Amino acid sequence: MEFKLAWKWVVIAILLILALIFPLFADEFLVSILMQAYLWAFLAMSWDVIGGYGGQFSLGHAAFIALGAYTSTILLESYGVSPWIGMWAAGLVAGAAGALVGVASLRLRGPFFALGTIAFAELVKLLLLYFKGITGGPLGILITKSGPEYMLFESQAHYYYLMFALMIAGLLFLKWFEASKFGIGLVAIREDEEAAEGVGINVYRTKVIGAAISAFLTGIGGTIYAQWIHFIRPDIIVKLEYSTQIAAIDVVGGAGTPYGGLIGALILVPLSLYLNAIFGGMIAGLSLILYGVVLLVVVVMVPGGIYGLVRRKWLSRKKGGE
Amino acid sequence: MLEVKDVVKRFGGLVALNKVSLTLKENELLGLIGPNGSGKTTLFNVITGYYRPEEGKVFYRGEEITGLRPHLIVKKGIARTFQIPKPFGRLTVLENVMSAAMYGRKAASRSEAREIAMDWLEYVRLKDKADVEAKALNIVERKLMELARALSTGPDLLLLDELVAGLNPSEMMEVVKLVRKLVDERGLTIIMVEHVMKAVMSISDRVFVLHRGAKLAEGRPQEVSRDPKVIEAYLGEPIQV
Repeated sequence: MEFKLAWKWVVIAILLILALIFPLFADEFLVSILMQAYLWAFLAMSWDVIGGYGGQFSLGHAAFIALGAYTSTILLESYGVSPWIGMWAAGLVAGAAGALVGVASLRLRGPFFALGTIAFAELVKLLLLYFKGITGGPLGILITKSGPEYMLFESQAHYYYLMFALMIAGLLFLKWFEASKFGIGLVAIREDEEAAEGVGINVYRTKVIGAAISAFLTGIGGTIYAQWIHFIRPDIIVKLEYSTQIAAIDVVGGAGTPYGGLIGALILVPLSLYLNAIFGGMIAGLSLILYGVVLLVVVVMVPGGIYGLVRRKWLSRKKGGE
Repeated sequence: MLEVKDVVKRFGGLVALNKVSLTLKENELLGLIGPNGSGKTTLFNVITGYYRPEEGKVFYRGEEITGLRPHLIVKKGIARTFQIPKPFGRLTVLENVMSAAMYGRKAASRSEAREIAMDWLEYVRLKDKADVEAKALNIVERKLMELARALSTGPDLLLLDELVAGLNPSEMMEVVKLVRKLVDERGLTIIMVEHVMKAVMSISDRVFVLHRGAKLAEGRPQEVSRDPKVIEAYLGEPIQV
């Protein structure tokens, strides 16, 4: 038992070291791909709070990325506030919007909730376009500052470490979250709402706070995204494609688990970048179709995602061995 | 301890409860019986806040709790089980029961909740299943887990909805003994809805008979089982004591 436990830590340490030295020997292109995978992993983990643990299938999370990205970028460009501080404001703004979506989830169930979140994202896009004075409207905002004090770096390797830290933070958060009182309460509601009320869980409050936490984290991800891409515009962020990608990554990897987001992102992000590089110019909306198909296949064939599948296989092998 | 006063609950044109009144003394075990559709579960749902009655009131320890949200009723000290068990399938048995300790009346910390949960799991003899996912339990285990979960909220009043239905006779007697012990040894007050006459009659202090949403009879088990109205309601089904 102790031997096994020691092995687990050795494996984790090796993976950590490999991830940390990766930019030293890999070329910039590969570093950039893995970096994006980390970012999407974090976004998928954020989605997981409400989508996986809460069982509310949101297809509007791109809106929270945008709210986060715009909040910190406006603070940065108009008021000179560093995104190291601005990202928390971004989280709060996105979180407040998330609470609104949480209120909607009390009324809208299943596919109707998903449709509602799509509509919500469109609304956010329209508002970002409408308030030109603050958001730059359809022209968006260009980040003109530079320097690490503004979370802006020269090389992809720096962003790689930033995204890596973000992803690890997300992973540790979910590990803690799923064993916390609130996490257990949220899952209880997902599993049976009436029984959850019957043990004293305030369903209303828990759902709203769950959605707010999910959006808060996604908003922080939005800040990091903006800092990397240096340029934000409503139509390049608030895309159904992004919302679907977040959900697909988590569901493919294993929704409602701390590792699902990372597993899904490591598989789907390189795949979609690759496919887009080849076909992107020719077939519009290709990745949306890809995510749709992948989602469908996983939901039908591998409920629990890849993590769930591996875990089941492993458990049954262990049982068989005894 | 509990007073239900002239409660009326309608579903469209159907009157599920028609001016039902019921009082319950501290540390009493009340058997609530009646044919299918007589309103037993509806009455539970009214008491525990799942339904708001059209008329009438519910008092608990002198305080009106009519139509209070279910999670607030739990915090007053009333817990229930469901007729068809409602496990949190993908949580472990321990987590299921812990959730009740953390969110229930005691609002226990995680470590306290763990202790409370383990104690009750031991009480219902489900301790060795603590780390199993709840969806893997069989029907008997699910019912026992529901009992442990309800108990973990820290109730003074416990409402059991057909806890022993579907159990075989020996399991049934085991569970029935557990329920009786909760009243005798732990000081709980219990209302027990049951179809199995033998189970109710053997352990109840008092029996309350509902028929078509209204009270048909009330009294000690022996009296009720001899009551011609009750016998007629059950279409002559012999009631064994």
